[in-house]
Amino acid sequence: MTARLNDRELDRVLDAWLSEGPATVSGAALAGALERIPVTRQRRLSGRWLGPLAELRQAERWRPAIRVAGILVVLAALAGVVALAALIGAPPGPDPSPTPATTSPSVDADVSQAPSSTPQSSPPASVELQLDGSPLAADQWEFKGCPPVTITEPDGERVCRFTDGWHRLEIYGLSQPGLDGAGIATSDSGVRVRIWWYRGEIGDTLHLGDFESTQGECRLNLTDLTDTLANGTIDCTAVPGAYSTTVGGTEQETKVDLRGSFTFNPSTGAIEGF
Amino acid sequence: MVVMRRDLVARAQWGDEVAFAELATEIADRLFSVAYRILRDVDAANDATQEALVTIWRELPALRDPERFDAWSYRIVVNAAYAEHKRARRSIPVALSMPASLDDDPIGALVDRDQLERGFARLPIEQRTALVLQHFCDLSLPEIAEVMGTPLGTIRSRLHYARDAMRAALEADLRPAGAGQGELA
Repeated sequence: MTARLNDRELDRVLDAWLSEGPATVSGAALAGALERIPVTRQRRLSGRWLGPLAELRQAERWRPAIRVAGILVVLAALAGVVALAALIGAPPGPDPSPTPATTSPSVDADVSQAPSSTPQSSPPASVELQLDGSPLAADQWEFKGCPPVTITEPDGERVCRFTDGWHRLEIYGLSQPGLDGAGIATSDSGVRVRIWWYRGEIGDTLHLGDFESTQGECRLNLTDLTDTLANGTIDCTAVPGAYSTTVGGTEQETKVDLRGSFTFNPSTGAIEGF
Repeated sequence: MVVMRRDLVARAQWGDEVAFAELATEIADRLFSVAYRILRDVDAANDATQEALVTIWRELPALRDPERFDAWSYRIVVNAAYAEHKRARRSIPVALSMPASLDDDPIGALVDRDQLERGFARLPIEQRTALVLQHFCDLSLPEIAEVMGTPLGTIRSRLHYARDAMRAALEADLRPAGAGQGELA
């Protein structure tokens, strides 16, 4: 045994020693965490919001009295589901350009089977999002992430390919006290639209730590809303209880004007606009 | 496996509790292992792991790049371990872990585990964490800096002092009887 450890020996000792010891979490700890999940709301605040929120919080004019009048809105829409095409009963779209040989594009399609990423030849759809009946300016919202459908935006077109899971669409109104967002997703069980919003009294209670207690969300399963889809509109008001939210410990009804329209192009599997 | 993990993360980000349960089950042991090695206390490590999992669920939507989930989750469990350490301030018992076999024991051939435990327990928790991330998690210095949210130079410094302290603690045990042992005060 030497009187001094060199670096290599020390590394070896530390590596070996730290590799020893328990390596399995207790079942109780894991179960305890999982039990807390259903009652723990996820924070739905993107980094993009941090600056504006800080400003909002400090702004004198944002008082509880004026605070969030409304909220949000959005819309989302969905992807190439043959079942959807059938429900809509739409004839082949106006663009007869070659499409993937698959006659029934799956919502779970592999990227290689995704709808064509070729820009749509149709003119950009008019996209309008409303907050309490008033249109949101183009600079107050944007799409984020990569929706599994072709989305036409006011300022151009983005084409995204199919992937599984939720896809984020965020709409934000920097001048609005309400936060909002929406997501669309595809899964084996169908197409889902999820809209969430945040509402708070932009005063004492509005800070990041409280956010999770002042948000609500509405989840739609489009397979249950065929009539709505047929009309090209998704209306979250059809969801009972979607507007119940808690502000400052008091449950309130939140009026959310959540509607929009889209055009589904069965030949490309694309959804254009809202 | 990577794709599956990424898919679970993506689904959990959007509120899929089933996906998160699967993800949590997959990562819980790793988080616990890190927490235990920092805290050296099984109960505290279990508590930290539970808190970390709930925090991961709550904050997951803020994770911009699912590819960075592992480093991000390390950061959360490290913070949970810090919180646990600070909150409990419990007297952490020295866990004397004995090897399964005294044969072929790379540690015992050089040093005494008791000295390792005591030397480690004397380190500030930030230095312990740096050592764990380097020697247990095999993270690079930049990765450690990212996980700990600390400048790279600070990480180098912490590791330098931590290693010196551990070496001193171990060498104290190696010295002939009667030698001074006060350097670590």
